Amino acid sequence: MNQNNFVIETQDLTKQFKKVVAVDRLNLSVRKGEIFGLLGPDGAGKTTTIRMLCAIMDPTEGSARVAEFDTRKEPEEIKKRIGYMAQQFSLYGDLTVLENLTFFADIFEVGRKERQERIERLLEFARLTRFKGRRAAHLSGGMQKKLALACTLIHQPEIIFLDEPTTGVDPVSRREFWDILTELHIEGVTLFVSTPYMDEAERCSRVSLMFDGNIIVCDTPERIKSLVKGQLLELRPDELRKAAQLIADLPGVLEVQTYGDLLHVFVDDAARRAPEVQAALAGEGISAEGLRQTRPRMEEAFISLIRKQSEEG
Amino acid sequence: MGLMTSLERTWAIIRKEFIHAGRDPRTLVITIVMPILLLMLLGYTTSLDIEGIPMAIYDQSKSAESRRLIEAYQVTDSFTLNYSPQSYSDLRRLMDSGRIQVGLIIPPDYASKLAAGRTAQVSCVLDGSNPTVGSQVLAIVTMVGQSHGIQIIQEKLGISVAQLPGIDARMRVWYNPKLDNINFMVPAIIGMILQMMCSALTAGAIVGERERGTMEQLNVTPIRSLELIVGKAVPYLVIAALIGAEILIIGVFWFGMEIHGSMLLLIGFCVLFMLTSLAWGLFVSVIAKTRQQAQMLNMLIMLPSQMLSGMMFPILSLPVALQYLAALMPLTYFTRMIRGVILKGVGLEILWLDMGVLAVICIVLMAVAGARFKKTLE
Repeated sequence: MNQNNFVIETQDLTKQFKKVVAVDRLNLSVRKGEIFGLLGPDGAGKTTTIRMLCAIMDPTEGSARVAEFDTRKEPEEIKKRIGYMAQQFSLYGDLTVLENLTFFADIFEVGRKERQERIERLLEFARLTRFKGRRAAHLSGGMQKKLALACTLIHQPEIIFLDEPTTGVDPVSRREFWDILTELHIEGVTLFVSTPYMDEAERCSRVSLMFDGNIIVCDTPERIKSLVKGQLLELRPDELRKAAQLIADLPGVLEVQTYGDLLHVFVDDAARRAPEVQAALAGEGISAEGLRQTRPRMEEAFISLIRKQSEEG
Repeated sequence: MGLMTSLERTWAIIRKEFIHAGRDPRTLVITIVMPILLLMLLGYTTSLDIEGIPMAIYDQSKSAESRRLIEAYQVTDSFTLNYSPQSYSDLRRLMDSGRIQVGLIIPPDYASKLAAGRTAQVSCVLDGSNPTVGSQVLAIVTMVGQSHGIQIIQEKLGISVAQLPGIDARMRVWYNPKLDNINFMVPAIIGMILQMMCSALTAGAIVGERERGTMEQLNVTPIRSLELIVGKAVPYLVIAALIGAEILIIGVFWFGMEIHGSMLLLIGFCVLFMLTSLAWGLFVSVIAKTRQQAQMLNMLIMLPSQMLSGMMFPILSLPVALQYLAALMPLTYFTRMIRGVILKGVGLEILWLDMGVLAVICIVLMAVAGARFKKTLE
């Protein structure tokens, strides 16, 4: 496959609402067949970006090409070739699973012959065959997401945009949903996924971190993790706040992040600093369990990068 | 490609809309039953026919003459005489408590004055709190009194008035000879209900998609705005047409209304008016963000329409500013058109202008709504 075969390309893509700039001169490009992850906290501009790429919202400035068509000039050509799964449930709750699929098959002009076979395959694929007679409103959250995905796949799109597809879904369903996305990836479909979950980012070919309408970094998960300076220590102190303050002032400590009960401490040299941390805590009478060196995950990498960005901005 | 696929997509929306309607039988039943209720309510409550007005006569004369006057009131259907008060305070109490609406007081010297060939005064008190009813009752009381007076004069003179010179104004009521209020109201109610159905349901259906987030999903499909609008409108046009027919049938068979004009023209007018209301519904749907807003916007046209269109109050009796406002309301034209066809039996030779104006309003609304109806989000 041609490495420069971009199916999504934006140039200074900008969306300004009355007061806020939701997306600010965004430049990104996605290759055919990638799972491209758009990560970022709520309000970073992920949904606005996806809507502009799906040609249902016009940018105020800049431009985007999707499947080789301009989003502003040829929106309908794009719509034939993409699937879009919105963040909130956007199917007809009073229609059954089968009726929803049939409706979208009608709208996308799926021929009579292919239709039956394709719907059956999608039901199978989304593990919904048993529920085809059930009204969409009566499905569980995870099943609704799978039905929504099935509906966006009915016309066999080249690119699928998924806006936080697993938000509000239980861990088991989340995993299952990602298994389905992986199957699509293997079939060669380009996936553009936004998510607030860092663990999901690990499953992407490339990831970009969006913050305040901008992309801070865009690379493979491995490289992004390697951007974080230093080595990571993890520990569970009994006085979290006090321990965090104490450790932050120790020599060789680059950054301290809290994670529930845990402290994540970036240091210049883990082997050398671990005993020092232990000793400093003991000196203050704070006991700490499970002090160990660990590999930084996307989570730590992103928090570190966002923090740096906020300090600079 | 082209037309066939376009029709297929429109048909998909229509089918889906009918499934929605079928899945919500309660709303469907209300939609069908409500017009009947409304027709019954408005048909009977707005009836201004004066019949059986409770009346009391305080007869101080208690003579053969006074009993003849009382009889004159009794023979008309307009009054029912259930009380015979024995004092002013009795009469007053009856009036205050609302048990009577009109009281007549015959003075003690009634018979003697008549016998002496002098004018006998009779006084009448009237509950004027409802001015419309009050003025009609007043007219009937006066009329009965006068005709009884003439009879007394005739007897006195021994000749018939017909032998005397004078003016005999013969009344003939056209279009609605019995001045039956129901004949006047049913056509207007058809207009009101068609408007309510078409604009409210259309706006609700489209804004509902937006509210549920399904509009966003439709926006990323190849469906065109026009296909969506037509697909949404057709089911509600069908339902509104059924309801229009339902009202006409009740009007004709229950209330005995006669249709004097062309049935074809009547149907044509109704279709034009339904399209206009639908265009208003579309207009509302491009402005409103939620179903509640859509409802409020619909109320904004519904209430003034009902007040100003002439369906209840004559337009000519409105202040001039409101008359101009009335001229903007589609219902104004439709009320005139449908009453023209049903009551007067007139056709396009009279109603062409009303129809033309309504068509213009319809086209303007459609154009404005269509231009603003986009597949992109703001």
